[in-house]
Amino acid sequence: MGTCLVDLFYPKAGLAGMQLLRNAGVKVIYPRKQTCCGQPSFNSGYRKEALPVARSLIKCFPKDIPIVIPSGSCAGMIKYHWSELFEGESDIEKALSVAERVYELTEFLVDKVNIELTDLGEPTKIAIHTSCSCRNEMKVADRIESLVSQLSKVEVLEQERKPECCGFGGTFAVKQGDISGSMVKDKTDALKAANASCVVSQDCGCLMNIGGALEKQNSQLKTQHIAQFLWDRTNAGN
Amino acid sequence: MNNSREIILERLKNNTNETSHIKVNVAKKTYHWSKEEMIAKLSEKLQSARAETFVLSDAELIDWLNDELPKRGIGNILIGTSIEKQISQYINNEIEVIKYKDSYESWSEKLFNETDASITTTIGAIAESGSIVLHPTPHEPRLMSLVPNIHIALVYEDTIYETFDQIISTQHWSENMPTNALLISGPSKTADIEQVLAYGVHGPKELIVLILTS
Amino acid sequence: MQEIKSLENRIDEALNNEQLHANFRSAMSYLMEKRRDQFPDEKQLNNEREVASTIRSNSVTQLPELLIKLEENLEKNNIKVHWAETDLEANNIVYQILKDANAKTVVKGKSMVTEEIELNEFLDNKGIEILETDLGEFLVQLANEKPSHIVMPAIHKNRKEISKAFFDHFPEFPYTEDVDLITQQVRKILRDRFRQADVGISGVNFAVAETGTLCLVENEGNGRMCTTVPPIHIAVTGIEKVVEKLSDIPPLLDILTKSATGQEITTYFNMISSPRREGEKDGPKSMHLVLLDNGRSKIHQNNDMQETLKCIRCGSCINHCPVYTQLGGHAYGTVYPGPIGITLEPQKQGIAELGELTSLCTMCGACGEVCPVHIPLPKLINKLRSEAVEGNNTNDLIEGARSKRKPLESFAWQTWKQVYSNPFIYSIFSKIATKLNFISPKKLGKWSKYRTTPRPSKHSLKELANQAGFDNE
Repeated sequence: MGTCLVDLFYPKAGLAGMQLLRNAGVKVIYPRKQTCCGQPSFNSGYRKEALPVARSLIKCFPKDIPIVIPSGSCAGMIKYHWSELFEGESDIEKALSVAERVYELTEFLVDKVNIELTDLGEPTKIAIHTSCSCRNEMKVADRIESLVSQLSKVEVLEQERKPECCGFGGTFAVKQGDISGSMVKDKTDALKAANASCVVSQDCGCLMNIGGALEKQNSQLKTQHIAQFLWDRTNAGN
Repeated sequence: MNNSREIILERLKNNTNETSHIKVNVAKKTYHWSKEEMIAKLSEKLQSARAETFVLSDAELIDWLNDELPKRGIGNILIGTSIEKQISQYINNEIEVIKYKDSYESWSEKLFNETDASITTTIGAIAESGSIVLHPTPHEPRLMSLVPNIHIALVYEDTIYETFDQIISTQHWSENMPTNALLISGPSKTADIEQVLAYGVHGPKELIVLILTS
Repeated sequence: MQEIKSLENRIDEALNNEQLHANFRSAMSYLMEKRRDQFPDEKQLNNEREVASTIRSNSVTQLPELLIKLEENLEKNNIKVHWAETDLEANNIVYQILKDANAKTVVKGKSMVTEEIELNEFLDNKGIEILETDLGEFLVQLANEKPSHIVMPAIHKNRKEISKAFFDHFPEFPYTEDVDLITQQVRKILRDRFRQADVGISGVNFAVAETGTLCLVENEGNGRMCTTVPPIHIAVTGIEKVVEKLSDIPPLLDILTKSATGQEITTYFNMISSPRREGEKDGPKSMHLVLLDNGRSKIHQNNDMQETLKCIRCGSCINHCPVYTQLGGHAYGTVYPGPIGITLEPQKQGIAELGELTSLCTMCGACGEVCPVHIPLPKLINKLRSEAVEGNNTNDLIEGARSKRKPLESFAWQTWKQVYSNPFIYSIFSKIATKLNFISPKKLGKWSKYRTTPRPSKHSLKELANQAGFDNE
């Protein structure tokens, strides 16, 4: 699964994830008709609108094979909230069978693929931003750390208040824009103080938020989705 | 008033939940501590909360009092009527012994403003949390362990339990609760101003626990 | 007291107050760290949460039976029980007790439930002198403010602010910012007040049905003072605070103090089962318990939201909430702030009134991770959002369901649905968004105040997948 955000805004990250899997010997199918898991409207209280969107996604994944998603928040939505969204619906069983097969990308790479990474890049220092959904919901924050630790020339610098939310929260960033702005300022302050050259994350929502803020602040600090980061490091120049 | 009771209960009862009572599976903690370990643990915890602890034999108690009270500037000591005789017989003359023999109302001003310290027994202690346990009685009223600046508590080593749960079940509290059961784990304190710890807010500023070995 | 400002204004004020931001940052970090230190073993913590959650679930599912049992045992112990459906009723009950005893002065221990019913204001208006005795509450009362946190009421104030408020009120004391000295001065002032008060009022942390016992945690000793010294003690509690057995208390006490302030145990744990008995020399001569409903029984009837009532008021969710850290307690404008506040208050006062509060949440899940009794706060908050915009407006259980539905927003989501539920329409939308990405808006409201505006890529992932030769099925 690509996710709606990745499809339009971070397609290279999605592609990198698929290429990493293919390189590791996994057959990757990318159903072209997929759109979105329904989370944006679900989190805004509009569950009735989320349902048909989620339903259209079910149709794309009929086979009993793992569904890998480069986003903790989308993976979490399907895995843990579709049961609520589909409560009382006639197709809840179908929805739950999809939910059962969901993995976040780094989770799948570590737990199922046992991927081995060889670092071909130049020495660099990065910071890791673990998204709230990866940490609290999917419980896969350690997987990104584990993947990065395989890269011999990458040093991880720790920022202050690492577990604190970056302030994205989907529509929160629009509905409570000033609070969100203050939160992302605190987050970018902490990240800038870590003195890394790049911030990597499992979630593009966080990247859009943090990256956008850093750009507005004219910071040199770059952001990248973990899939793209790993792909670049292990296929330098390819 | 009665009407409200019926309205509230009606609403609560109307919601018949199929969920029945779930058994509470508390894994009863047991540390298998020896007596020495219990005393050590109790002392360590109390001290970390800024209480003082001393391990004394029964026989050493009076000497300790006669030594320490004047050293600490304690001119009078409030005692309950059950142990009053044992203590007052042997204590130095310079130290005034005040018996808590009348009801609080008759001498509240002296209690609040002129009593330096009190000494009470306890019904036990809890090593895990570093707490002494009191069940105040007509002999040792509640305010003894609250009002004077210094509270001295006598804990008999055989009454130290590992956990709160243990003392409740071993002493069968649920069959007969006293007016006021108290767990005291240190001198009075607060962190309300900038999270900075300050002692002796309303309760005693000093808690001294004498652990008595027989 | 304070002028009624809108939520937006309060948020604005909070965000622009750098001192406040710094105070809360440091306080929340401190509290989170203290809690972490108490729970080094994650497996053990989960076991303890499981136990606490079960005990509280039982409390909630058996609430009517337990309340009847509690009342029976309290009355047996000579504690008079009063039931109050509303806040006004509770206030009147308390006032009547005072009136009957000709009482003029009251000393009060910290109690969120009495904040909820605005007891102080009510009694003040009746000419009763009511004095907060918990140091934090005392200082907040001096500054003519409301508490900003349910466990640490003066957390929003720094030393300078506290000293100033104190010495404005008590000019007879020499000015100091030394915490010890201020504490000693407060001690002096309050000793006399305890001794001379007619009535002591307290809250309740747990009420044990089995034995008719009221349990209170505290560090300062003022709670014991209020419940032992004055001749009358009135305890006020929400109906949900009852627990079944005495043996339920140790695990709850343990997880409460560790979660709330990172203490293994508080200085005092006070278990009261009756007023002064025959032969006893101190303690109140009479005791009362006021059982307050104030919307709780209604929440109880709502199966989806009933778990809200499991709360033991530890404040852990508040301490871990990144939005609370930004705003502090006052911005919420409610008695209970943070995650528990935005879950509880709209249910108590109705969504029309307080539904907006549910937007003060990023769904980060930190609250749910730390709640000692496993209240699924993020799920409940999300459910309230749904009730607010698409709930059934004939729904008796949630007042104001559907009242926050706005035509523009619902139209936007319906449009979104049309596009995203239909792969064909989506593919057209996606083509436009990517190929014509130069016409995507440069400014997106508040988003663009703090960040550059994101722009769709030239190529969608679907296109890239095609190019890279990934199968469709």
